[in-house]
Amino acid sequence: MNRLLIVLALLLPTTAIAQGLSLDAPERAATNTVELRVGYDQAFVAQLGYARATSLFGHAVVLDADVTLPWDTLDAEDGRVRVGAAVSLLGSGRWNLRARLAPTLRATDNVIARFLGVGADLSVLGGYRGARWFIGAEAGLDAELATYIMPSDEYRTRVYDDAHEGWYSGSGGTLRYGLQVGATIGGGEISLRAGQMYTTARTPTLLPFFATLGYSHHW
Amino acid sequence: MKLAHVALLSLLAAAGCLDPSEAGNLVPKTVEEDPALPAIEINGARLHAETYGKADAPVIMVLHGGPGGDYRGLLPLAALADDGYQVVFWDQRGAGLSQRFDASELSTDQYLEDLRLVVDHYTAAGQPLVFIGHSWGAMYATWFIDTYGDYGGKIRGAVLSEPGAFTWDQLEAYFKRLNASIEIFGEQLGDIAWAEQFMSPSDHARADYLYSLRQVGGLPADHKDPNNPRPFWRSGAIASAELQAIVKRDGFDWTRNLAAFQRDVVFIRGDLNTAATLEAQQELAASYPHAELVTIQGVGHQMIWERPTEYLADVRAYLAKISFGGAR
Repeated sequence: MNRLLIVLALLLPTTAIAQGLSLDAPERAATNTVELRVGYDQAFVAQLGYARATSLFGHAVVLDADVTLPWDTLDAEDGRVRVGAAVSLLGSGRWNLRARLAPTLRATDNVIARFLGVGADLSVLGGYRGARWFIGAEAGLDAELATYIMPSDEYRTRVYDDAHEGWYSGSGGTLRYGLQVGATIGGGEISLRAGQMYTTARTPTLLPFFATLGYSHHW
Repeated sequence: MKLAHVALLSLLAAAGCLDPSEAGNLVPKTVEEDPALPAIEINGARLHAETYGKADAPVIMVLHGGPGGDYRGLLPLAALADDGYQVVFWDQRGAGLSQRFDASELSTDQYLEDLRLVVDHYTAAGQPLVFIGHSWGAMYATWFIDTYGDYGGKIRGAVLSEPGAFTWDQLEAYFKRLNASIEIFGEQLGDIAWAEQFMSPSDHARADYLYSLRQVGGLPADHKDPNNPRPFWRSGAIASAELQAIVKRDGFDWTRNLAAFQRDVVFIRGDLNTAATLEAQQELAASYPHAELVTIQGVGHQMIWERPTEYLADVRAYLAKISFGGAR
C-alpha cells in the first residue's frame, strides 16, 4: 500500500507552488498555485495542495485546499483535508505578514478506535521575499473542536468494554512554530518548512518537530 | 480567547458532545470515582486492591509492571490462593484503577513508602511474604529488598519476571534494546503520532486514554501473543512518565545492599523477549547472592497471562524449594 502511494506521488505534477500560507501578499500572489509536500508532519506525509488568489467582499484573499495522507499509517481512514483562507495583516515592500484560517476534517483508524475529527487551523506567517528566494517564520494552532470516537473491538475486549462511542468536544490539538525558507528553481519554487510541535497540553508531541519539503508551481 | 473557548465547549456540550476528561467515557473510573471498587487507603492515596485466599495465610504480593500498568493481566496468579496462600493484588499510585496524582505530587520516596505500608497492611507480625514482580514490578521488589533487606525476616523470597534493570546504566541499555525493535516508519509509531492531532493529554483521563494506544499495540520486543493479548484496566500515563523522568534525572542503583539478602530468589523469563535477553537477566540475577534463572520457551514478556500453567508450575517449584508452604 505504501508503495502504491509513493508511485502515485511520483505521478503527480512535478511543478508546484505555495499553498495558502505562501509568503506573498494575496494581492501579489499568483492566481493559481499547486504544491506537493513530503516530509514529517505528525506522521510521514504526502500533501497535495491548491491555492487561488481572488477577491472576496472587496478584499484580496488566497483560498486554498490541501489533502494530507500519512504514508506510514496508510489505511482507508487515515488522512486530513483542509480548506483555508489567507489574508494579509501587514505588509511593506518585500515584507509581509499573513494569517490563515483553515477548517479541517481528519480521520484515523488505530487499535483503540476510529476517530473522525472536525477542527480549525489558525496560523500566521511573516517574512521577507527576495528576488528568487524567501525566508519566513510561522506559528500555528491546530485545534480539534469535536471528534467522533468509535472504540475498537480490541479496546472493548482488552481494556474497557463500556467505552462510550460518540462525539467528544474539545479533545485537544497541536501548537507549532518554525521557519520556512524557499527558492525559485526553474519554473517553480522549492521550500522547506521546519519547526517544533507541542500538544495543546504543552507537552512535546511524540516526535516534537515537523519538517517538510515542498515544490510548487504557479500560473 | 479563553472565553470563546469556554463558550464553544459549552455549545458543544449543549449539542450533546461527550466530555473526554470525564472518567467512565473513554477510560474506566478509578477508586476515587467508583466506591464499589475494592480499595485500601495508604500513605495519602486510595489504591485499588484485592486479595484472594485467607487473610492469615502466608502472603504472596503481586507487583505489576509499568510503571503505570495494572494487575489485571496478572490475575492468573490468583490460582495460588488454592495452594493456601493469601494472594495480594494492588494497583500502584497513579496507575490502573488507583487514585491519580499530578506529576508534581509524585516522588520515588513516596513509591517506596507505599510498598512498605502495603506490606504492613497485609501482613501481621510473623506473617511471611514472597513478592512476585513482573517487569517494573520486579524492579520495585528489588528496590524494596535493597532498601529493607528481608524486612525483619518477613520477606522470604521473590519471583522476578523480566525486570528491566537495577541500575540506571542497565536501564539505558534495556531501553535501547526495546527501542531497537520499534520501526521508525512503522504503522504503530505512525498511529500514535497521528492520533495526537485528535486528543491532547490535558488531564488524566485523556492522557491515560492516549497512552492506551501504546499499551494495546505493545512493544515488538515483548513478543506478545496476538491470539491471546494481555488485558489491562487503565494506563497511568502521568505516573509512568514522571517516574521515568525522576530516575533519568536522579539515576538509581538498587544493587548496593542486595549481597546482604540471603534468601533465594528466582528469575523467570520468556525466551522470545528480545529486550530482557538471557544475558541481561543473568547480569541482573548476579546481583543477588542466591538467584536461579528459569526460561519458559516460546513466550515473551506477558508470560503470566499467556502461559499461566507453566508460569505457576515454576512459581510452585520455587515456593517448595524455599519451603514457603501455604496454609492448607
